[in-house]
Amino acid sequence: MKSPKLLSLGWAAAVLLAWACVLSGCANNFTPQSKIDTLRVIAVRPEPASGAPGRTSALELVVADGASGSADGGAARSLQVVWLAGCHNPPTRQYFGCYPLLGQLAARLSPRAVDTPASSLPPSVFGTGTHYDLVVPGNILSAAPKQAGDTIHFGVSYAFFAVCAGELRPRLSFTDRLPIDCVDPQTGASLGREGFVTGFTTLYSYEGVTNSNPVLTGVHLGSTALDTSACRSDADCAGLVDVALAGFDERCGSQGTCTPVLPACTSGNCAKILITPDVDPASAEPLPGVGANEILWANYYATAGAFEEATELVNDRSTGFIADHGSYFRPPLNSDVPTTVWLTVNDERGGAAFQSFEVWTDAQK
Amino acid sequence: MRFGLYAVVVFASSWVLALPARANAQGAAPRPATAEPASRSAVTPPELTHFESAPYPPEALAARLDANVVLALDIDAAGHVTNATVSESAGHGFDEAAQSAALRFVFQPARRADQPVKSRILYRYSFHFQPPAPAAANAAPKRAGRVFGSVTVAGSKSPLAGARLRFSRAEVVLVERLTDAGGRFDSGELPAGTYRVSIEAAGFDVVGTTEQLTDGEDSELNYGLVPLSSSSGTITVQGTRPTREVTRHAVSRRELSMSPGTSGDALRGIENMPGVSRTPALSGLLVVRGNADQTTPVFVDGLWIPNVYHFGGLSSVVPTEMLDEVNFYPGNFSVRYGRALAGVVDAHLRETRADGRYHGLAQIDLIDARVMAEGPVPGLKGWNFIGGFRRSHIDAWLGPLLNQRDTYITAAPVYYDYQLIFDRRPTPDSYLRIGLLGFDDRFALINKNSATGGKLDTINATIGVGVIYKARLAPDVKLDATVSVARSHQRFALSSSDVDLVAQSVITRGEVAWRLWRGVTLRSGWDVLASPYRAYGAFPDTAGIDAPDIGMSVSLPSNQFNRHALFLNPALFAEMELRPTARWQLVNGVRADYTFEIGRLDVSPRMALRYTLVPGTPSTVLKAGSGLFQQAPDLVAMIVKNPSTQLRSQRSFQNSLGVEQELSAQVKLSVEGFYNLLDNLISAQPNARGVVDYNNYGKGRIIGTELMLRYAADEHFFGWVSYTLSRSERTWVPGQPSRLFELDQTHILTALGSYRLGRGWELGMRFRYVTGNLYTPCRSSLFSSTGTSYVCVQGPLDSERLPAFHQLDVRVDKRFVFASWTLGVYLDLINAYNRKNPDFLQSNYDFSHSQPQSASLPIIPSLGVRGEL
Repeated sequence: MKSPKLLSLGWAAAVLLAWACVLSGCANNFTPQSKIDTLRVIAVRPEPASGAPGRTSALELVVADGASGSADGGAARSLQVVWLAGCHNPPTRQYFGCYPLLGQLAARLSPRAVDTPASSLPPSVFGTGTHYDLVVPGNILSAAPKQAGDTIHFGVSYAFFAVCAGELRPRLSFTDRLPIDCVDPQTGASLGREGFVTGFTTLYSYEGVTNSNPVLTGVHLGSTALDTSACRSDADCAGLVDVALAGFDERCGSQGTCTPVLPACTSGNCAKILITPDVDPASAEPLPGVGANEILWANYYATAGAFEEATELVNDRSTGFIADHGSYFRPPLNSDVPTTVWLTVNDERGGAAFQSFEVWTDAQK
Repeated sequence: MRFGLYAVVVFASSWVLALPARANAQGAAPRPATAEPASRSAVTPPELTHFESAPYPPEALAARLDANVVLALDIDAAGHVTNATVSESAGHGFDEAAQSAALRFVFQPARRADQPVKSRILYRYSFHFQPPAPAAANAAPKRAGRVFGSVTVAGSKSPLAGARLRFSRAEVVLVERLTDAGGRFDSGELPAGTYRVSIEAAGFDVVGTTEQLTDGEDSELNYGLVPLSSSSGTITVQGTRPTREVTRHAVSRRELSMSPGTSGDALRGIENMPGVSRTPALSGLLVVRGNADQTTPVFVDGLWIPNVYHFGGLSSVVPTEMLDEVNFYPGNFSVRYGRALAGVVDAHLRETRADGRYHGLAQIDLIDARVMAEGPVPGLKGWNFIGGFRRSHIDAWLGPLLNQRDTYITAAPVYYDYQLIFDRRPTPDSYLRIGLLGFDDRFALINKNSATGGKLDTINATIGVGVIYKARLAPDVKLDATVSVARSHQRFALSSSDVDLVAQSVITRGEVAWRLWRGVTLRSGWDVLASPYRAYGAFPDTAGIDAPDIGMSVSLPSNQFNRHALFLNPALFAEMELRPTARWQLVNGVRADYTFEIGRLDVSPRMALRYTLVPGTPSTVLKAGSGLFQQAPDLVAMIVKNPSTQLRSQRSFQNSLGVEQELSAQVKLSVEGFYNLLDNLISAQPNARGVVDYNNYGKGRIIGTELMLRYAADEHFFGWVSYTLSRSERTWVPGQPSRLFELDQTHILTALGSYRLGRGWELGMRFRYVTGNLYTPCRSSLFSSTGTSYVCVQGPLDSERLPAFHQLDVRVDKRFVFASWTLGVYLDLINAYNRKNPDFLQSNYDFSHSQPQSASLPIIPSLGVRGEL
């Protein structure tokens, strides 16, 4: 009994992986993605979220240093940030099409990259710090190739960044990645992932269409909205939540805002609480030519404790907005410093929003 | 017009125990039974040495009558019949015809003290009317031949005296023989044709087989019977069946069903053969000699079965009990097979047992339960049936297991398969089978957390009806033809990827073999596949690059196809087999395939050569082969490719050279080297949008050697060691250097053995060692803020290997024999020392750490119970 050959879309491979996970649970002992225990880039928020010919988008880099002593109450590490840009509509539209240009730019960097004078590079291709202005050229659309299958004409711009807890130096031998290394200035040894992150952000410029960042209006802990009003003492936060109903209290935190205080853990098993970013459903904008709204998703990070899910879908192209997009958080059992939580909401066209807050437990407070 | 006429001869005398011996009166000259164990009487009965066929009386012929005439024959000391009187009359002219013929009989006279003496015997001359076979009507008279040989205990040289052999055609037993003290038998002269041979001996399984007696040629066949107390009613036919391929690994059902680690599944036993790569458990992959998956098709009775395994390998869709044998050709196969770039697995369903009795089987283990029944069809003379049904019950325990893992089962993982076969032999020279085969797999699940989890939906279902007809059209011409109609539905949906294929298929294959003259045989045939299908597919756009890593639930992929079309692939083939001497065998063939979807005609010439350097035992055979093998692009490539791209069939130029050396009657060593050159391989490269496009840029080279040291099954033991050393390289983009193929495995070693301990106990073990799989390391990573995930900065492709695979499987069987049925209990301990064999590398979120993960089965004790009637 025969039929045309089964479509070879990795049938066997996919079945294999499915069975493998069924049988083994895909068990591993990796640190979860949501755990901030090293230097991490949480988000890059562009404003505006989409480019346009000749327009500048301000990029805000959100960094968390989980390996810093500050997480344990010590001094924060000094971070260097370098941006390299000027890569627009690269071959294949993909980020790796920028590597030749990045090599050329890196060759003109100073040995200590952050000290590079602006005059040594073309304008608008270099920057330092967590803020960078990405300038979109006037021909971003006219120079962009039109390809079959595109639902809308668009151009694409890339900005690459390097965040380092040591010293950033150009490394021209890196031809398959950002040609910058992060070293210990004393020894010259390269730092690992604990102190070095490289990455890129993508800014799309659409013809006749703009994209907006998702709108994050607040945060819910369980069914109760988190109130992060300014405060000077615990009294300012008293009564903001119904403790019996919410399952947590609010007191004045170290950053001068009201902070949730979760019940102390008992016998090694902390009660988990659902944390949900409040996302305006209108953030899921229509996708021209697709007939659906864009995908939104939320990421969850914490310096201690654990989120059950690191990522949750907020809007699906087919099924629409998903109200139940929160993730359960289980606070740390023993910690003498507050836990910092980051929530980000992203759309598939580069838009982003974020919020962070501290979480205490009764034992700490 | 010709008709069939059969005579049943019965000898009886006052001093000799009569043995029924049946002979074909149509020109045959059967000898009476002489193989009875030596008589202690001083008198030896007369023995018929020349038989005369009686003409069928016209009156009886017109009335289509059968009859028995019992004659009293007086035989003189010279062996001539001096008088024939009718003892039991039949009328209608039968008496006269029988008398006239009997008077021309010649006997070896009866003897007393070695002196010939006169004798009188009773002789029953039977007339059986049979409508003429059209093909036989014009056939030339058939010359007689003999079948002789021996019957031994399977796998040993111990002769089996007193075994009863029956040679029959069209349900009529023509000759019956008992083996002598040396286990020998001789059918005497028989007309050319196809015979059903049954062999019975007390304490042994009854076996049946079909033998072809060619005009004027004698056949020597040696049969091995398996003791009833052993297992599975298998037969080992040790007669030489000429192979048309350079290398054929034929494994008996006992060897396949008793192999540890396969839970008795015959088709899963293929993984123990040389040249077969180790693939992860439940992957359903079949990788042969460094080729890609999906290039070694599995045929069952000549029909291709895609996805031959339930759920990727829990069991095959055809139960072992329905199979007669499984032939595995790792390369250089005959032109009768096509659409395959690497090797072929050719399984054959067995004929029903035409012993007039009903048989049954029931079996249950941790995975599934099955029942089977077999026997004559009531009311339809000559027709037998065999039917089976199997259903898995893993849904009973897998569902709760998955629910504990935050997963909803929306369709329980269930498979079932069923078979119903009717067959008969319309004439002694023909065979007809009508079969229904079907199977259905269904499994669907979604993660409880639908936002970040995934959905999986798989369907693998086929139902089909097929007809097989084999016949001798003329003394030197044979036909073997099949036609089938089937409907299959295959679906695989994982997250936003979805592939769904529904196809109705009409397949017809056939072959005509024509023996032109002694030592020269021409075979030609057709192989046509016509399949209207509907294929739907959906793929995520730009997957993997800058796409949000938010689990598998993101839907509405941007690449879709929905196609209704006809896949039409007719093929013709011809093959000339030359045997100029007993030592040489040369097979030259050519096959032409036309694939309408790509509008191309592929012509594939092939050659195989075998030379017996040292005949007899131990023999030495040299073998070589060379040929072109082509396979059309798969359906996705043909559908999704850029419309302007003209795809061609993939090609493999296969070459092999080897030697088969018998070391003893039981032990045989086969060593074979192979060198395959591949081109026109389908290469999938992402275009500027990141969407995969297809072309024929791929090239490859595979070089290796295989070794098979095999101890043929005897009453105690069977086993083998297979080892493959190979290197498989590919170039996917013109101008780039070649690199190792992703499925390359340098060393593949399998050592397997099973020993009967006695009292129904059997212990088997299998050990495997395979080089670790290749993988591509990540040198570094980049954080994509748009996707909020890291992308791997890859090192050289497939440049590193996972740790080696090794595993031990153990199987223990116990068989209880009762008066009318047997009960078997087995424990198949898979992965006995619970090795976590790595199958792939899993990385953490930023690719800074990775660790091997196993997709192979942990230690699993599979317990089964089986009853046979």
